[in-house]
Amino acid sequence: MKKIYSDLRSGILLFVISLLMYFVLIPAQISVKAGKNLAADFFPKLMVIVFGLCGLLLAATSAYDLYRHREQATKERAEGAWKTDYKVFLPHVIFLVSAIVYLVLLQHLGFVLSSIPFLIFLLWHFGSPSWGKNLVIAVVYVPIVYLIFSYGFRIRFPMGPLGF
Amino acid sequence: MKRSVFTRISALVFALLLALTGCASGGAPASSPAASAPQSQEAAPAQSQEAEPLPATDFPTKPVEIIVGFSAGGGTHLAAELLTPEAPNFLGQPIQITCKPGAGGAVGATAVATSKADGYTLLYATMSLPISLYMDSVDFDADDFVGVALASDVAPALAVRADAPFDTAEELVEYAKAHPGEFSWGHPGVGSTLHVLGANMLYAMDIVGDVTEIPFAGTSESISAVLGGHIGGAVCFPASLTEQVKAGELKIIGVSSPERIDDLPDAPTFIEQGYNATLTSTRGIFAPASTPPEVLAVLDEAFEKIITSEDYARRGETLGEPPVYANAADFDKMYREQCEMIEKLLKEIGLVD
Amino acid sequence: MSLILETLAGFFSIQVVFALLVGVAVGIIGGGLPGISPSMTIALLLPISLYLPTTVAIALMMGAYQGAMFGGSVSAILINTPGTASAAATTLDGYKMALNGQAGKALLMALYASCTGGIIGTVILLAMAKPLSAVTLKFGPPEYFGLMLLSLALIAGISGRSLLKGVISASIGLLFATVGMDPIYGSKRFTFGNINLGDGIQTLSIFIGLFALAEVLSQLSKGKTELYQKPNTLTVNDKLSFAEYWSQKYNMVISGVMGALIGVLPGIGGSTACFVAYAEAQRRSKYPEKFGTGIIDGVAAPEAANNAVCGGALVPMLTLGIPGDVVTAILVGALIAHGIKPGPLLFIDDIGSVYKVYIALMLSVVALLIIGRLGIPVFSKIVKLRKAVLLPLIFIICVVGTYSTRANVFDTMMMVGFGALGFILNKNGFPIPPMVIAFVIGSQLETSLRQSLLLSNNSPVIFFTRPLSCVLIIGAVVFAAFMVRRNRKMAMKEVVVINDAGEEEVL
Repeated sequence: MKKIYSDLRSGILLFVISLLMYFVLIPAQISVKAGKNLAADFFPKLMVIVFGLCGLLLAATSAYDLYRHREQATKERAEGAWKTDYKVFLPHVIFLVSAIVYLVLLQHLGFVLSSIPFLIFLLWHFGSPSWGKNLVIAVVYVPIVYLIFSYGFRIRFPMGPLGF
Repeated sequence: MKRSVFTRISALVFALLLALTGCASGGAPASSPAASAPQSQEAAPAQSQEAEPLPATDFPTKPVEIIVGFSAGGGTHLAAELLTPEAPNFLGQPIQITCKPGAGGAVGATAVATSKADGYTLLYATMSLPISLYMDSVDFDADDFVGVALASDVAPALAVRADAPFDTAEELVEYAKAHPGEFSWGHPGVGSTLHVLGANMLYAMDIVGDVTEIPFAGTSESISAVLGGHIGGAVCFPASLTEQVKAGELKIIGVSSPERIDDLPDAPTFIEQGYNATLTSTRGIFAPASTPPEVLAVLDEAFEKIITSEDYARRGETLGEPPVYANAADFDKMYREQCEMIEKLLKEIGLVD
Repeated sequence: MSLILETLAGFFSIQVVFALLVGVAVGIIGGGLPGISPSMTIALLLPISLYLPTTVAIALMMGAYQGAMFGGSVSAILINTPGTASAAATTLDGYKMALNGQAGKALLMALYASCTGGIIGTVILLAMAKPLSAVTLKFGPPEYFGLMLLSLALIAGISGRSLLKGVISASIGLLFATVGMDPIYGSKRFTFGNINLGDGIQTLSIFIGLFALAEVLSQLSKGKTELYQKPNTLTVNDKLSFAEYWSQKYNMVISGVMGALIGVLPGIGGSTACFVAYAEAQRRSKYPEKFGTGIIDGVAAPEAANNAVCGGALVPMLTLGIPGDVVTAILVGALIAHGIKPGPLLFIDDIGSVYKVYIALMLSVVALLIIGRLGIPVFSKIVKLRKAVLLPLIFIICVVGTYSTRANVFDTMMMVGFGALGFILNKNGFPIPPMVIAFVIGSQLETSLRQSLLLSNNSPVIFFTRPLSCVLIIGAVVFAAFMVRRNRKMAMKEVVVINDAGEEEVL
């Protein structure tokens, strides 16, 4: 049941997004030049229509499924079986936010200086409890990666204050 | 047991070879020799246009980075790589090439325009630089750059299938006027140098409205389409065409150049056929405009030696690069003229409004 | 004949053998590192090759080409991160096999399939270069459109259980493909004023984000304690028996042929070939529902295809002087620097050089086998790491990898965004492979459509007056219908269970 409910949510969301895209985003982002060929917004609009309609279809079939099993559905809903515990995603959000911070710092501190502390944090976040061990791993791994990519494959990393 | 030892040894050998690979290509950043070559010490007053001598500078003391706004392995990148082997000799420091592709060279240009103007970050650009200024919305101005050296100058050609019903530009014009919309020509992308130069050719022949323009993803695709008879002609650089022409699969309607070119000696130029299309595609080195003049002087002298060296000419020949050079003052003038001309041209041809 | 033997003799020197082995090794490393594409690896070797004698240089580059095509599968299998775009389909079954403790088997299958595919690609090159190049030229914009449509139709097969969700994923993928510059007018689409989006979304950002990062995020759900557990190193059934390899023979041959043919067409390469081969293998298979759970068929097909692409891409390069992809474009430069001029005259004027390329390609397969067998025990050690340690390390590689293509941190941010998107998609049951392949073929699909309409003055008739494109388009429709029907049948098997329990359960 929960899956069908999630499909319903997804379907509705997709449909709403498709409307937003069709009427707001596409005109804003694509300037249509007059020309004898298909307009620049033809393909995007077509795709938006496709997923909008499919989203609608998905929502409709899920709603129908829920209706068919409405007794069980109402029972489960009352029991709270459909509640999404958003706290479960806290580690993911922390990870993603820290990643963005890291990517910003990367451009100012250089690869090595920003990656070592970030990796230490990440190792702890993913479950490696010993800070000492994490430090060792980071201090060994980051320079190796740096050397392989910059010397071996001649990738130029953002320069930090120390020149690497 | 034996196998894992073998494996470890192999792994070590790979690592060693990899390191050797890195060093052998001459780009190892850390092992830079101290700036020993005396010519890098002072600005050479003989080159400078100023009356009083420029302040002394020990530039460069670390490797110089040249940014190429196109993908690694592509034509522009390979042309830029021609500069690196001689750099330690004439500049005193290695040159490192970084490819920052995107938006027809604009991403790379932006990176240099916004970099510290200390001479350690330079731009290797093609005519896409002036083109992107006027065809695109970019975050830099023509005045953000100053020319340092001209390194390459290639003339584009319009090629058609060998069995096409026209041999000269005049015959093509007749055909186009008689069958409007039938002749289709390909180029590697809207806003690319070949697109603009090709449009210029058609403009000179006054058949812009009578032909259909088809953008492709690259030169190879457009040549392939011509050979297959899907489109009428393609605008490309000679390097992509010589083999096909020799084999008799393609023929050249005209070359956009003041004189005939060595790669295609039998191909007539547009100007000799009476159509004023002589624009060629230049490639050169630029520095941010606020780079100190003494640093620019060092670069000017160093690049002159690098680009006019025999070694450079030899390696360039294998890539199909003609030997050309212009120093900073001349190239900068060329660049400004190009900017003006492109701005006018794009408006006239109708590529911008 | 004697020329062939002479050229062959030229290959039996220490230098050449060394070059082959080193080339393959560097190729595998470059291919295995996400972000280092085969073209970057070969571009790196290019300056070195200029100083080497011709035969050695060719051996080096061919070795690297084959090595890189295999190398991508190493990281695809071990860490669900396609090392190269052409290994994306290998993640589907390869990673599942690694999760099931069969990483070694998956890697070995990938290696042997790569070698087999490499041989097939070379054979096709040898036998059919000239006729194939003639066929290539027949492919104009309408034919490309038909081919892309056909590839799109195959997507229906890899949609998993819900075709509807597969279509949604695919349409979103196609939408992502439109970001950037409109191919015909040059106008900006969805760039939000950001110059970094001017060329569209980088392929690697999407691949690494949707595959690797999404997987890292979903592993994070398991919680710190479980991630810190030492992995169960009971490598059950980790070797690959000859019987298992042999069972894949038809799969590998068919996938190899498909890969080679796709490689022949300029502009289409490994990333399309691997998905098409995978989807086709699934379609042909007697047990299609097992694809995606971790079976060797799902590894053999894409790996055979992507190595066969090497041979295929050389066809237009050698016969017409037209590079089939970025790598062959660099190879053209390398050959010219050695005085070999690829083009229609090559076979007439300088057939010896052609033999050099053929032989190098053949021998590089042997080198791949050697180095691969040596390397696999080393690579497999990676799975022995605790997830809590491995996942952060993977993330750093993902960052470096996505940065490397354009030396641009923006691409890395895109990767993070796609990782989040992939995680959300997985959680809601939307399949990712259709989105990925739709993205890969999206721009070619749209461009070919609009180029064709430009040629025909906006008349769609052009697609049907040309026999080849007509066949391809009808084929696409037939395929799509077939896939829909097959998908229906698979879904039917489960409907019974839904009615009883109200929950969806897989039979």
